[in-house]
Amino acid sequence: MDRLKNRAAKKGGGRPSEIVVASQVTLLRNLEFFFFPHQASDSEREEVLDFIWAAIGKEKGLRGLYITSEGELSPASFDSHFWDLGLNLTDGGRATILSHDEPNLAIAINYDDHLKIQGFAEGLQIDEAFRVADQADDLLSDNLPYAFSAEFGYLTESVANLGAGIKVSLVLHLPALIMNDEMDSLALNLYESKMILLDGVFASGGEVFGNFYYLHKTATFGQSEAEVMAEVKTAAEMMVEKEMAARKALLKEEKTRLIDEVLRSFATLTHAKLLSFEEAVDNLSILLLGADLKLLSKFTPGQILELISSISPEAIVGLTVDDDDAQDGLRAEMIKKRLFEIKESG
Amino acid sequence: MFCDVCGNNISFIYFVRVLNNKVLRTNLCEDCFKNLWKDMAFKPLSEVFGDLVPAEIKSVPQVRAAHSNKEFACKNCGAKLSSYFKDGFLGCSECYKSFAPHLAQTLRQTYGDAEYGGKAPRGLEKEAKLAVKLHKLRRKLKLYVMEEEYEKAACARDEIIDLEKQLSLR
Repeated sequence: MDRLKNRAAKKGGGRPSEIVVASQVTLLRNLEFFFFPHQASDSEREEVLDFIWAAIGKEKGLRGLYITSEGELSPASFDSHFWDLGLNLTDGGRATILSHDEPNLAIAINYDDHLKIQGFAEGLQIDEAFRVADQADDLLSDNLPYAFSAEFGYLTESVANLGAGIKVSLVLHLPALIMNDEMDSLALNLYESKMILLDGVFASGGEVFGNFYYLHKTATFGQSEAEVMAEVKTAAEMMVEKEMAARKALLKEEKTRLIDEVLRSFATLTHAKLLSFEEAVDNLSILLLGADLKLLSKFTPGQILELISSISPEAIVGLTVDDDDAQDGLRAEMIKKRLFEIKESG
Repeated sequence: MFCDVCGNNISFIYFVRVLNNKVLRTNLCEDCFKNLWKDMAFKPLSEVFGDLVPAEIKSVPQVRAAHSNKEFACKNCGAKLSSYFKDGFLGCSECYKSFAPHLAQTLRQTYGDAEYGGKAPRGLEKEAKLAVKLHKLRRKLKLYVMEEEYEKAACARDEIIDLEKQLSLR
C-alpha cells in the first residue's frame, strides 16, 4: 500500500476524488481447449489451476505471486478498495492469486472465466488500475495459450463479454444523491443510454446500505479497452458533478440539519454498545460525508474508509467471535477505540 | 445462419446447384432440404455420390434421423448449440469455431457491423493485428463486389493477397 501512496503522491495526487473511492479494471481471459469453468468438473478446474500455476512459476516477472489459502486472505488485510470482489479461498479448483510485489493486483482463477486479472487503484484512476492488470496480462499471455481469435477477440464463457473482455468498475460514495432521492432516475438513465450499471456495494435483503455504489461496465463487442474506460470515466465524472451539486445544495439550504446528522452519527458510533455492520457503515458514511465537507476537522476521508474495511463481518469473523451479539459488541468496541484514537491524535 | 427457405430454423446444409447455367446457393434446414430433395425427385444420395457418402447417410430420411439423434454440438467439449441459444454460455474456446457462423450472425444482430478492435495477446500481437486487418478487408471486398465498386474491390483483393502472403496462408 505504501508503494501506491508514494506513487499517488508523486503524481501530485493524494486522493484524486473524495467521491470516487476506488477504481478496478478486470480482464477476462481463458485458455484454449480447456473447458470453461461452469462446464468443467472439480478435477478439470484443478487441472486448469495447476496449469496456470506452473506457467506463473516459469515467468520471472511473476515470481512475486502466491496462491491464497485459508487464513491468509482476509478482507482486513486489504485496503478499502478490496471490498467484496467475490474472491474466495481455494475450492473446487477455484483460487485467488495475489502478489507480494504489486499489492494492487489480484488474479481470480476459475470464477466464470479461467482468469480474471484485476488491477486496483485508489480514487478515480482507471488508467492506473488498467496498467496493473495489463502488465500482468502481458506476462501471462507470454506463457499461457490464450483463447483468442482475430474475428471475435478474447473468447469468454459468456458471449456477452466477448471482445476486449474488459470490465471497468468504480466504487462511488453518493450520500447526498441518496438523501435527495435522485439515485433511481440516474441509474436508469445511465443504464438505458450507456449500458452502465449502478449497484449497491453493501446490500442486505435487497436493500442497499452505506451509500456506496459500484458503477460498472463490461466492454460490448467491438468496443476497445480505451473506449470503455473513457465511457466509464465520463459517466463517473457526471456522477461526481451531480453528487457535488447535491452536497452544495445541502450545505446551503440545510447546513444545520447536516451537521446534526454528522454529530448524531458520531455519537452513535462512539457510544453504542452493539453495532451491526449495516448500522456501522450507514453511520460511517455520514461521518465520511462530514469529513469530505470539512465539517469534522480531525477526520480524514482515508481514515474513515480504512475503518469501514476493517469492520466487515468477514474481518470480525477472522477475530474468532462466532455469536452475532458478540460480533456486534466487538465491532462497536473497535470503532469507538479507533475514532477516539483519531480524534486525540488529530 | 438461418434457413433461406423457411427462415425459422438454423440451416445445416449449404446447397449449391446449377440451374440454367446459373449457380444457386442456398442455406437450408433439414426439413426444407428434405422437401426440396423430394420435389426434385432426385435419386438416393448414395447413387449420386457413391462411396463419398458415409454409410449412415444413404437416403434423405436417414439424414434427418442422423441429425435429430445427434444435435449440433462442439467437437471438443460436447456443448450443444441449443444450450448456447438458451443462456448465452459456451463450453470451451473450440465452441467459438464449431458455432462460428451462428455466433457471427447473433453478433451482427446485436451489435450491427461492429468489428473487434481491442488488444491482442502480446506474442500474437503482430500476427493478430494482421489477421484482424485481413478479416476486415475480406468483408470490405464482399461489400465492394456487391456494390459493383470493382476498382476498390481490386485494390482490396491485392491487399488481401499481400496480407495472406505475410501471414503465409499462400
